[in-house]
Amino acid sequence: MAAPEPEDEHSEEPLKRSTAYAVFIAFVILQLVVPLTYYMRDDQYDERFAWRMFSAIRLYGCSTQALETRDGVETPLELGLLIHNAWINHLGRNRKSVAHAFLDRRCDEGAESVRIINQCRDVQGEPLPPQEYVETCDSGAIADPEAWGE
Amino acid sequence: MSKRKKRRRSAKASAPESAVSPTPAKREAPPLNEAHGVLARFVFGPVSTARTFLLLRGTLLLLAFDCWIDLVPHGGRYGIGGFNVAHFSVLDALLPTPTAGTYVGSLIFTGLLAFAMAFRPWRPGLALLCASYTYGWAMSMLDSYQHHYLISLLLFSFVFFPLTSAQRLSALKDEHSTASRVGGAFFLWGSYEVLAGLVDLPTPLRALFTDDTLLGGARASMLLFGFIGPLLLRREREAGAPSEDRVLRPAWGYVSITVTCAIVYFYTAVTKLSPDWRNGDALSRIGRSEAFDALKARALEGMGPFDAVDAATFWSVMAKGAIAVQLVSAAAFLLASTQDRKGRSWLAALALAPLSFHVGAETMGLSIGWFSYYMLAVVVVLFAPRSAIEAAAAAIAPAMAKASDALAKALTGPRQYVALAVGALITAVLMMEVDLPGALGAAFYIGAVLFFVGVFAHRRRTQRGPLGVAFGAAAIFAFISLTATSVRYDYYRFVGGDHRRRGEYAEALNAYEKANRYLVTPYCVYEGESRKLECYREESTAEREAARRGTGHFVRRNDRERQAQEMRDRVARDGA
Repeated sequence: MAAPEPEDEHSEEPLKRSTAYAVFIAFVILQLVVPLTYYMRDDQYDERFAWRMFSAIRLYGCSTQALETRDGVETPLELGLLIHNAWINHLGRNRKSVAHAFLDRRCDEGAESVRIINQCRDVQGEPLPPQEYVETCDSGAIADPEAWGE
Repeated sequence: MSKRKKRRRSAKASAPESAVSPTPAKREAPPLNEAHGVLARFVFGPVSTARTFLLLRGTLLLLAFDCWIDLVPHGGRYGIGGFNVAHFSVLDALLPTPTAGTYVGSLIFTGLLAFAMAFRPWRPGLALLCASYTYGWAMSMLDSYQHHYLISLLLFSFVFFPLTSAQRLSALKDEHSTASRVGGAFFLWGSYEVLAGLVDLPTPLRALFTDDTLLGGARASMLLFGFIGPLLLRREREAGAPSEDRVLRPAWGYVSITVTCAIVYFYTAVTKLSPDWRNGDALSRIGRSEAFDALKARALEGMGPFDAVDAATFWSVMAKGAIAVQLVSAAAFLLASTQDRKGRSWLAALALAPLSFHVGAETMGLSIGWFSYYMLAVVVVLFAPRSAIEAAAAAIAPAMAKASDALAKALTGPRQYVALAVGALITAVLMMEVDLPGALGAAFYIGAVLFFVGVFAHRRRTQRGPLGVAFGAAAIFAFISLTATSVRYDYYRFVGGDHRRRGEYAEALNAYEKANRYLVTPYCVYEGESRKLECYREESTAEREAARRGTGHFVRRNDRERQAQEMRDRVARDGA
């Protein structure tokens, strides 16, 4: 007789039918709802979990500049010396949470205020309004660019 | 007759199709409330376990190699400057900033787990795999590939898959003659040949045939025999045969995968309805490849019965075509799980939509990692005719069952704990040798997993010894993948490049020297000055390949020696 196969212990249905049905429905609803949230929020750049592969927004070309003020003097930052290139690309894609984390980091390191400015062009190469994120370090207040293009 | 009675009667009429067990009292879970109706029949409809068997194991194998070969090389960028943003803020709050070791270690661990689960699927292991893979991408936005999120969804569904054993599937042997099973093996091989050929991966036939016409003929013959062989050579299945009971079963985890794919394609199509996509502007930016250029050139001149079009029309038509193909793909995936029901075999034809889309994506050279490979493999398993997919399973299941039986017999009693310990030891020894951060950590966690497997086996009085063998085998394949390919070269050259950019020359020199030490294919064939095509271990092989490709192709050594020398000079200058 063949030795018992461990996986056979679990080869029957893993959950009761009614539980399985509930898990299935919940899983499907979750998958339908999560991408929909993209269309309801004001941050059109954050396309994660929305299945917007190769969307027109993803194809915008942006150049990123960061400036910080210390002792009342504003100087440009050499981003490549501070963070990995991949993060600079994220900043260029207007990933808000990355921009906020970077601004916070510079404030923690003694800046008075920090700005990130993205100059973007759409897929036709037309320039778009600049996207500017500013943190005033004393108050910790961050000003995000206004939503546009909707 | 009331509608309700009619529904009930039609449900009974379809019973032989869905309730496949001759011993329903033992196997079948209680039926759902009638009110669930069509949806419940869709979710719990019969699926050939040959599909679930091949889909689970094939995807996990692909995942293991994806983790080791495609993802590990990018680990060097994690933790640089102590900066990180996770996909979910809770991870930033709870966990320390990930480092290269965290990322590489978690990916090696995930690959080892995926490989072991492909051979010895175990539900807690599959749940852990889903969690570790998800942590792998969720720990940082540095990994923002959307298809990694998709794979997490697939792994979640795998947790609820029927874990059909090879022994159970061996019943298929009774209805597939040896010739039919050979046809099944050819189907698997032919599918790999055709799909891998389309995306320019190495294949056994590619190595055998240098002539493209002969190669195409061989691939087509193999696939044709794989399709037709099982159809013609299969023995007639008797009604209610035991094999039917073993093969057709409800598999809601599988249905969840088909629905997940349908949702993804649907939303992807919806995204492309924006004007920038519909007018072709977006596609014209990403569709820059030789194949697309050639197609565009022909369209501009006029193709067959079609008049010549201008470039804008070409891109607009292609973009709208992509939207249509994705919508058809969504419908195809939604229906795919019903293919094994009577009269639904025509659904196999719908595979053309997703196949054409992913082959097109690969032809365009989009940077989407191994996504197309996953989807091409998934499409083959989901849509192949039942006879072909079952013949393929019948070709490999008996050998797997035999090996599995032998292992289970050999590793009884205390010997199973020895097997688990040896699995952990092999993993530790091999991971110590790969010289990548986090590799030893991955081995430690595998050891912890095997320890808990042993405790579990002891408490439940079950046999888990073969899992030790599966992890040992996984470690050997991980070691080969990490050391015999360009993984370590790529990892260290990326690290070197980053240090160099930031003026950390000593660290850059160290990384470049390691990159050169681990270079396995130094001789590359170039087209023109800068377009690298393929790299080889032997210069003579590269020269032969360049000659085969014709004028304009030549061989150049591709390493980081120049950069290393530059760093040596800078370090010496700074030291002086």
